[in-house]
Amino acid sequence: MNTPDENKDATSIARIKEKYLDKLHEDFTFLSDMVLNQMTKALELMYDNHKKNLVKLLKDNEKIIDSLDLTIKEKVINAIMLFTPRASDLRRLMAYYDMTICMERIGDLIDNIRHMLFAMDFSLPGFETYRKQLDDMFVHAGKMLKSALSTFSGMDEMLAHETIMMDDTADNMERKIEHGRPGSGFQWKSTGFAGLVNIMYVNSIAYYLERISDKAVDIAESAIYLIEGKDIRHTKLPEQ
Amino acid sequence: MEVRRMAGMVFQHPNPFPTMSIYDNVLAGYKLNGIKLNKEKKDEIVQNSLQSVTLWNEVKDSMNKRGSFLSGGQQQRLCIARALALKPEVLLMDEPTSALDSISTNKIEELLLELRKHYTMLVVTHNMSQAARISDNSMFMYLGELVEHDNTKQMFTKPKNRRTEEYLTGVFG
Repeated sequence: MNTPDENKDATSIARIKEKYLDKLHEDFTFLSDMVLNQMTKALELMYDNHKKNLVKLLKDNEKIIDSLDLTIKEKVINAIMLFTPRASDLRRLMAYYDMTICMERIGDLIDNIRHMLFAMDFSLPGFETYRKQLDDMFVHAGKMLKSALSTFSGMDEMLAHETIMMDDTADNMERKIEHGRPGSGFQWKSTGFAGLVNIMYVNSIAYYLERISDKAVDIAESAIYLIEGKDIRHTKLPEQ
Repeated sequence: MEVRRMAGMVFQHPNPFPTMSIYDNVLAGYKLNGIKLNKEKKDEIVQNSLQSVTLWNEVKDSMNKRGSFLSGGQQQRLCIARALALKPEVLLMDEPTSALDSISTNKIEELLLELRKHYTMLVVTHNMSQAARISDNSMFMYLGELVEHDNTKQMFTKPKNRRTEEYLTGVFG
């Protein structure tokens, strides 16, 4: 057993560690807010895809996301080196690490969407319907991402399971765009080459949004690992 | 007494018998128990025991030197060889590396990882990382009370008891 003085030392080291982890949490929260904001801005871009200041903002934010990715990962590695984390500390750090990878990837996917949107022409006949479908996907993916991040901050495993279950809807939405024909008369023959290129962009954006939903699932799974200590990746969810 | 003979013991500080040779140290358990062996059997036990603690190659040419002639890490391995010579069912180790430098500690840990294939070992340690590295199952004892026991991976990543969690995360020591 330790002496009271030794216990005091242990407590003060624990305090230093807590401060360090709190700072890490602040960085992660900032990264989360940035990515959620990027989702909102990318959705705005869909309705005004040549708005230069919006494009610039998205580009600049992407750079910040990349740099936060490096900062957070470095801090996690340092924390492992400095504090030899165990139990909840270890799970928390691994969750930050995994989720940061996801967030950075989401940033990249949004950046790809920005490229596609910038090149698209929604004024071509039939594309208004696609815009509506993509809008729905944007909202759904954004909701999943927000919910996954709330899971982490609120330590709510039920919300995490709900987020994971929302993924089927995202998959269906993507499939509908990829394979289905929009109801309101898309006439690719009359739109010609530009229409075909547009269709490719629509499919790509739908694919990227579906990947963003997958990343939200990964974040929810990391949150479950943090809360329950269980790695539920590649396992079937319990029946509702 | 019978139960005691089934358990080999290794202590915090290496404690080879200072006046005995390396050879006699390994056989000390037999001598103290009055078990007589022929020369051939003795040689076999000494060689096997020292080989199992990977000390044989280092000392085979200095068998008649005193145990205290060895370095700290070697002395501790000699003590483990002495315990193994009697073919115990269980090895009890009380902080077996706390008095050793990091290189000797690594050697002992490697040895423990090898020996666990053949022996049940109970190791007391305050070194959490060591416990996580070398054990299959862990018990957390605090002030003489068994707080929690579980498989090591489970206990070090998701302990069930709040006090274990607090101890592992450094809230108290």
